[in-house]
Amino acid sequence: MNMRELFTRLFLFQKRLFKSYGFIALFLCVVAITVGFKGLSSAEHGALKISVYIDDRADKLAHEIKERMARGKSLLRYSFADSADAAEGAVESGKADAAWIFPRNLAQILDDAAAEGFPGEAIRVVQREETVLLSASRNILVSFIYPEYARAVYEAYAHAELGLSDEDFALYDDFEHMNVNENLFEINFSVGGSRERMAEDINYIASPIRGILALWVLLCGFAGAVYIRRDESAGKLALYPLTKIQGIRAEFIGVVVFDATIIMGISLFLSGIPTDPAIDVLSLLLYGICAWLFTVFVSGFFARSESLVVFIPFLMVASMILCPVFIVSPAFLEPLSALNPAFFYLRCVNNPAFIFNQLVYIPAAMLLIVLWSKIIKGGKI
Amino acid sequence: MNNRSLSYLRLQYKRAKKLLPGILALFLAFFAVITVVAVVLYSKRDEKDSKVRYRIGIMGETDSSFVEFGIKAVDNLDDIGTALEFIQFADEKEAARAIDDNEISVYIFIPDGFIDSVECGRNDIKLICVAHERNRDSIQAVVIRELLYSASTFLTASQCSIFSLQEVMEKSGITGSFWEITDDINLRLLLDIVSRSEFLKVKNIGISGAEGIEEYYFCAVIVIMLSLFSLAANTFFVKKGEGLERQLKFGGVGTFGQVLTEYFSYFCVSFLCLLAVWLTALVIVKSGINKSILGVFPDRLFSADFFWALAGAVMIISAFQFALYEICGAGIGGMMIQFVLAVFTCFISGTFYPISFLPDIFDTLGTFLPAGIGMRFLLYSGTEGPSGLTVAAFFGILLLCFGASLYGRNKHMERA
Repeated sequence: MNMRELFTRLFLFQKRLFKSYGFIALFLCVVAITVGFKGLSSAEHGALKISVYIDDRADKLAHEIKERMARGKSLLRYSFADSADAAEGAVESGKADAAWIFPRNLAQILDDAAAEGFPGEAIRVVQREETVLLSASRNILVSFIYPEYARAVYEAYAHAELGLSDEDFALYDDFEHMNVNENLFEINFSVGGSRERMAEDINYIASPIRGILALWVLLCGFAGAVYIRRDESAGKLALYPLTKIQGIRAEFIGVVVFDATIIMGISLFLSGIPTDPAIDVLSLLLYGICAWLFTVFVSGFFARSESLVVFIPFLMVASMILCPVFIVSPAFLEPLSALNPAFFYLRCVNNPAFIFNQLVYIPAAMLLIVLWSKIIKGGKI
Repeated sequence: MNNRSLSYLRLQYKRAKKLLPGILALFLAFFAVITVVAVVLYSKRDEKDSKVRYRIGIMGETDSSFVEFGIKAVDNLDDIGTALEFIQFADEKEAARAIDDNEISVYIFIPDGFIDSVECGRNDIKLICVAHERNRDSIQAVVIRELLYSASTFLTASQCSIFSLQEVMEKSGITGSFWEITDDINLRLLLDIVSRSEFLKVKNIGISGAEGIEEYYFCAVIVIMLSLFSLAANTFFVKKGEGLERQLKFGGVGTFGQVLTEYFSYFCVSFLCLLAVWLTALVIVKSGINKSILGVFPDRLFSADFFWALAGAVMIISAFQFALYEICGAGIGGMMIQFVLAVFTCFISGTFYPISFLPDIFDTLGTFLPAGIGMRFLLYSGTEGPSGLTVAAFFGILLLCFGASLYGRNKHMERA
């Protein structure tokens, strides 16, 4: 193969693509959307909206709870209602998933509960229907009041069981200075992977961006395949010998995938999605090669660009399901997922061992392309 | 509309008739794939109490009565923690395999010495909660993290209470009943944690006027399919020669007529494809097989109101796609921009994750995005209906898309 001729052709393909302002605008648009989306996703969010009514005017505990809710970042997003009816109304209108309505004199109620058993007037929870998330949210609700309740139990014991007077108790009480390490758990995402990250880093909104971009690179490859076939139909490749057409198709797809991969890398870098630079650059480069080979192989099955165009959306939907973009597909679908290069790339982000799979994918895909074109199609285009 | 425009409409009808079978076949194939996945995912729900339980593996130092009591309490007594189910494993390899096979969500490893560390208040040995890397950025990971933080609060607050009481006993010289009182408060707090629902009075008001999760995702799948329809229908837009548009104009079919006729034809194809999917879903629901494999879908999803909501959703989403094709063309750039915008607008509009999971700004943006408007039409049909703002946004965006299509067509003709 004449390398000079090859590079000239690649340069001309590149020049042709970048001659179109639309093409440049599209790439800039992808970068802008990605960065903008990452920015939006960092806004306050949570899986459930809770409308809280808590009268904190005269109750120190209620005030503390309200402050902790306003401060904390969690599964829940709180909004504070002016009245119990307003909180309940937010649930009825679908603006909130649940309402938490705290009774007045919360501290007193907890003291009574510690001394005499559970309170007659409890916190009212109004919700639309029982779900796992709402059940989990009630654990969080109780965890807001439990420390105060545990303290009340301790005080009740000191008075009832030990018979201490208020003065004696005040003398011996050292609850505030009781230093107990508050976190008993360490979360580790290590099964199937080895890169550890703190549980606080979890961002389920921003995480699909990488997957969407990976699928977009595949789409670019397919769009390139359609484009070059239309050029063929329009006679724009008539000067090339028929034996070279397959190679030229692959070259053009390669140019488009290369550009898209670069844009994907820039988008990820600018959007600041958590990355390990060395692993990410390597896995992205390998992904670019895998995506190119996959596109060349799959597009080779279609004799007409129209049939390929019809197939693309089907492949995109299937990829969204099979690759861990929005959902983690069931384990039994993994052999099917493994055909798609985006699957290995997205797994690579958490587990660098998948770089090995990408490295195996490349020669396997090359072999299949050669087999398909030489043996099955007998070298015909 | 003049005679020439009507002739052009007839021409478009013939074109649509020719392209429809292929596009429809593809659309039904989409539907089949999505249905299979939905069935697989839905089958993971616990039939026993019709809600997902997070299965948590436990291993390590599990022979302590403290741990045994905790597991038994969560499994049998704990009425808040019904989302959890504990499964004991003999070794870490077995637990890791269970995570790999999605049998459990996480496993908790109790290291040697953990119970001693908790009993004497050092808390220097932590429970290690191990999850699969593929679930790291999932909602499941957030839920488990929050549940663990809550559990930590319950345990450490109880410890504070117990150790403070022990200190008071020591300072006040009570030694005789020291351990008896300690055991007593310990048991009291443990039982209080287990029956913590007593602090709460829960009232379920039902889902009238709002959607259940099956309903929500039914509407979401429709919007996703509609948004990606433009890729399936790319052939609709590639055959037109720029010269033809100019010729049509000279022949009496103006820009307005061309755009309106072609849009109408595209709308009809989109709507017919969607109706085919909707009717297939209706057959599945009427046969009753959905109850066990996909949950229960309310009648309103197959009512006349929903039909009109579907028409509205198709109208706005197809107008947006049409305008994009007019501006960006149906070539390489056009297809890519269609895909990127379809996916991002669907995401922002709350189709991949429910809108309540997303920041408020997404809800606001969704009101003005075609996918978001379509989603709202479907979600609120037959109940309170879409809000005034949504209806206003529908007409505003429709006009904007139509204007953009006219602009795009005129630009084409100028270049031709």
